[in-house]
Amino acid sequence: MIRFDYLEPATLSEAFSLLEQHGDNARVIAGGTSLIIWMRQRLLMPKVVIGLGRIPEFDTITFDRQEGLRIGAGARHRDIELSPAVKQHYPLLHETFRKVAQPRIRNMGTIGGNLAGGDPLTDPGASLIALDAGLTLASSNATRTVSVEDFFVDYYQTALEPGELLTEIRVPPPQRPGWSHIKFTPRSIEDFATVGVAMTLRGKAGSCEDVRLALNSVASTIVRAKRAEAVLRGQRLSDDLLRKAGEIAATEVDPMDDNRGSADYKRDLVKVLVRRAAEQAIQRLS
Amino acid sequence: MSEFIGSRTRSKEGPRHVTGRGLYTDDFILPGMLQAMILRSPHAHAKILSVDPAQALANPNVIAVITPDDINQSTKPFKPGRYAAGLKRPIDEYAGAVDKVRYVGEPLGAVAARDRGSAEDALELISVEYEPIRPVVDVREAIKPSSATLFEELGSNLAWHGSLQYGDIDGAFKSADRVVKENLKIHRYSSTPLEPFVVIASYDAASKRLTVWVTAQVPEVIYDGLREALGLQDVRVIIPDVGGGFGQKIHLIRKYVVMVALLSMKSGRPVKWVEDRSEHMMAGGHACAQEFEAEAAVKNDGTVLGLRFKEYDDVGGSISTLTIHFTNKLNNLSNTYRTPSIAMEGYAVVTNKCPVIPNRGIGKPGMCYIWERMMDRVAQDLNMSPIDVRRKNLIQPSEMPYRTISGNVYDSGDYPGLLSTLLEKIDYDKLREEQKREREKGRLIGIGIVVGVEPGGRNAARDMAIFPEMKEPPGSGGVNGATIKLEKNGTIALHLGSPNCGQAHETTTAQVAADILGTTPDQISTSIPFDSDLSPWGVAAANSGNNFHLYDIGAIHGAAKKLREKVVKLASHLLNADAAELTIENGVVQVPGSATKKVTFAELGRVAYNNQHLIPDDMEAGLQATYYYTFPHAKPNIVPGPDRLVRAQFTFSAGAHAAIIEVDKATGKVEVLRYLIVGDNGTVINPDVVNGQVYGSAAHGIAVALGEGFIYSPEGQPLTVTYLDYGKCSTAETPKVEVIHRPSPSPFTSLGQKAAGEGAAIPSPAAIASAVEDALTPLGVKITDLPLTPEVVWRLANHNPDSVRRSY
Amino acid sequence: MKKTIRVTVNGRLYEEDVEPRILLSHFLRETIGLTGTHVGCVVGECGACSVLLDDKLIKSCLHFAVQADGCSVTTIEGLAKDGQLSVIQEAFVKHYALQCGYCTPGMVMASHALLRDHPQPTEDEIRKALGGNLCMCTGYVQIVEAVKDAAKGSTHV
Repeated sequence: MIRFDYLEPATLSEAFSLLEQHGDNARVIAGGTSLIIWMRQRLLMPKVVIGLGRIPEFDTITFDRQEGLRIGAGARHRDIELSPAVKQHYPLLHETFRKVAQPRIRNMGTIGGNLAGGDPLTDPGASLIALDAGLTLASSNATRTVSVEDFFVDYYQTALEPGELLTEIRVPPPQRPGWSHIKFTPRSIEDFATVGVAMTLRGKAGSCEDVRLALNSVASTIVRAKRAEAVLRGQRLSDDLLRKAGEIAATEVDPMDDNRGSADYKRDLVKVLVRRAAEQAIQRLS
Repeated sequence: MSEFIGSRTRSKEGPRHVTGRGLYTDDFILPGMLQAMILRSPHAHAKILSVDPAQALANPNVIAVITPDDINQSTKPFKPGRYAAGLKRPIDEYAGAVDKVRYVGEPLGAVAARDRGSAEDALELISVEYEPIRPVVDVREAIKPSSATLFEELGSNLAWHGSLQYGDIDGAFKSADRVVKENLKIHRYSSTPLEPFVVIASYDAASKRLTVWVTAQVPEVIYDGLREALGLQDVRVIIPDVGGGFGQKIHLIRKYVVMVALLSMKSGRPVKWVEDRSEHMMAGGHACAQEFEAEAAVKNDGTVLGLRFKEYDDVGGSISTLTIHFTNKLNNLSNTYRTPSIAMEGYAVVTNKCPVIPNRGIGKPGMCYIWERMMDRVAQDLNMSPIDVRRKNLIQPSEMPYRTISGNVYDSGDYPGLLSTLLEKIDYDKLREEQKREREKGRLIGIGIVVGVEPGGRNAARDMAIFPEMKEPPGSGGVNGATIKLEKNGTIALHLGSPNCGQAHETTTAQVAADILGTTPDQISTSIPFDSDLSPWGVAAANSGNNFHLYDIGAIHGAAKKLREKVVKLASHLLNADAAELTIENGVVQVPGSATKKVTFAELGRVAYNNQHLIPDDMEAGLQATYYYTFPHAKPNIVPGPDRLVRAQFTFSAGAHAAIIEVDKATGKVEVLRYLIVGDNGTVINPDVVNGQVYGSAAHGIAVALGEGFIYSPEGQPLTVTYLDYGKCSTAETPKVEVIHRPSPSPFTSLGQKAAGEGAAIPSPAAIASAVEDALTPLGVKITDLPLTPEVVWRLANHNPDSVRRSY
Repeated sequence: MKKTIRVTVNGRLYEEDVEPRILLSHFLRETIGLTGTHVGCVVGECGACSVLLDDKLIKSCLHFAVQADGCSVTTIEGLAKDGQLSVIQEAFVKHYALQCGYCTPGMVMASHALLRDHPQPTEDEIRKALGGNLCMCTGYVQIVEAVKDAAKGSTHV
């Protein structure tokens, strides 16, 4: 492990000034589950590590019927998984967070760390996109909001600017009662998904009123499959339509060959799993 | 007498492990101990031009560095052991790479520093210049003259070629009604023990004595390796609790022991090295990828007259384990069948990948894979049921002990009985009907039924059958010992001849000793760790090759009997009774029926160690016995003659496996619905212990068949250096294995016991392959290659002609 | 630069100067001297290093010791009282839920945490909860049996 200095700011503004002061030499750590591995492998070699564990209210989860869900970036996956508000109002998130790695990681890893890492293989991003979530990015002199789908820019690259911290995730009140989440991991449940699918759906009298579809592990970013959504939106739901949506979704991804499978295989899985996800989401409507 | 043998005696190892008090090599600290790190090659194939440690040594925390020059000058190459016999000319293999590196991760130097962080930093500062050479990762490419050779002395990457045949193989093929052929493949994998390699070396220069603590399975390899490489006479090898071996901790570890010992000699301090997981995955050793071209000479009634196969072994970047996967096939060459002629031809090809090592089963899973895939093929070709074809060829229980055509003697076994019981337990006929019904609904359910022998007990002379060049046996049969002592206070202490890595040696030997001595297991303790100074060990001191059941149990059995004789002799003297009428129960020796004529073990101890005047004149003082066991039925063919007949191993467990699976055609995912084994491990000393071995070995074989494995890029870069990349399965993916015992005790062993350690790892890959093929029958798919990852199954099931070229 | 941290381990407070780069697993093993927590992969995949941090099950190899300042850690050595095994520990011994013992401390800690939060888990729940603890020896069958047995009729492990 490389040598570094460890600093623990007591407030968010102290964290901002440390970030400004140390610039590229610093990395923030919340849970640390990803950062420690990258540091061990010498992929990242910060001279200064800024621990966010002491910042008050950084990990709170609140729900309000008007505003929806507000999750502090320091909230652990496990806290989100177990939150009664999440379980009751956002079953898609409950299901997703139940599947992130396994309990040990969920106890330590934070949603902020997960999203800020920009890793397209991770699970929460797709579900948050399917729920129209937005992220609050703050620095010492400004605050802005970015949608989750715009947050992922490339492999391990996000919209975060130097000196900015992801401080909050906001999920609007639930709009679409149908939902499904599929994490295809043929080997170990601990592993990243070979293909991950998140969908939310609102239907009426056998037609789709609105839909969101997002996919992870199939491109350099977490992808919102807008063209596949357009296939479904406003249409009568049928087996053929679902199959078509799957095929269109497969054209919106650009998977990589890796240990989990070849690009061809993953593209084919997208066809199959999007269709299955849609079937499950429709079932949940009734 | 059998109160404890066969019972679920409480685990002796359990209490310390569940409270975190196991003592593994990394738990030991010596005063002044330094931390080491190994310098490894980032190239798959390269000349080493120069190594400059000057910058690393500039750090005052860095105490010693060794480079290829140090290894060349201060150590001697290892003598080619029986694994490398048959090389046309001996090739020196040193502990580390000296002028060339031949696989990513190959060690070429090391650093010892006062703390791990300094050692890591120092490693980065050693400046190494390489001249890369084009690597070869594919066996067929490697043998082409255009490929760069790994060992110039060999002139080719085909490092060894040999063959062996038994019976009239040409006659068999001439008189066959038909010939059934198939090409098969098994990939690189390993059991990846959870504890990595750890070595501590401490050299006392004034006494010229080296002590090592090491995670090793075979003390002889370490002991001899250190003496050969470092020219030392006085070597002590201590092996504490080992966190899993499976054959990984036998061979390559000797390189690291020598390097760490050299660091200790150079620095004058004890040195510890702890392997990183990624180091183990890239350089700790792999099971060999094997390709087979097999053909069977068959009669129309299903009788197999002969089996002929060619084998191509991808042995990686070392010549020291060239032929082990081929030679080990002699151990289960006939499997459970009476086929009267078998011919085997092997090609060992070196490639720029991790060297191969004797991972659980070593070559035997490959042999069973050949047999059981061929039996399925024969059945398909003849339109017979796979059960009937097997039944036609099985050795019958009435023929036991059975001499196979290669000279093995199967001690006992009821293979038809195992198969019948298996079919009954899964309700085979009903299952087939259910399968038909479900097929009509579009479900792809498959049933795979296989049988396999599981040999046990090593014969050190076996390899002479393959290598006519070997004039002298490197050893023969097996020898291992045990010491048992009745302590002054009446408790019993055991010293075993072998190390262990978790097979409950302490518990099972205590059960045996308790029954023979007339005491209880809780009065018995086993001395750990293995210590080459103190443990009564011989060539069979190995926690591998299914040796324990034969040599260690045999030794404890012998030692306990010897001790019992002494106990009874002393007691008869003290009680003034006839030795023949004495009984022992709960540590009390007595004349049955008498209230007064009894003496406890503690009382005997006090006499034997304290009270000379009470000891009979013709009896040695003390109450201790050592016994070195050899297998008493090793003849004939313990050392092969010109006819090449050989007892490859000595006892033969067996199992019939049923794999019931379902394939999801759209994703290729295979789910194991049920996995049942009907096993014969002979007399079972502790059912929980034996079951644990069967569950574990079966689970691994299934996981191997379904996708775990090592992958290399075309440039020889290892792509699977973490558990998740490699594809290791957790509780959630591992199917629950069921085991039923149907033993045929061995007439040759002390208690009728047979092996259990490698066990179910041998037939299980074949069972899964058979089941997946059966599931895909409606699609006309044939399964020949492992692993069956979801993507592979998806391609086969959807007839996708593109195949991703992967190098394993 | 070293930092002084105060960590309570198995009920006892320790004050130590540590380099920030020291992982919690190595801190427990080498600085505190409790070697029951094992390191199998050091990247958080195998679970051999599982401990409780402020009562939450975590992988100590994915945690710097400095992040544990002010926290309370329970290791495998903290479960038994005066040599008396806890219910889950006894179940592991009784069911032979171990072979080489290397995964055992992490497996016991994970089972302990599971039963504490879900006293009556189904087999499926057990298998999912232990999915982060790899074992190379046992095939998991006897481990699952041990957890089921410990769950049966126990009020608390």
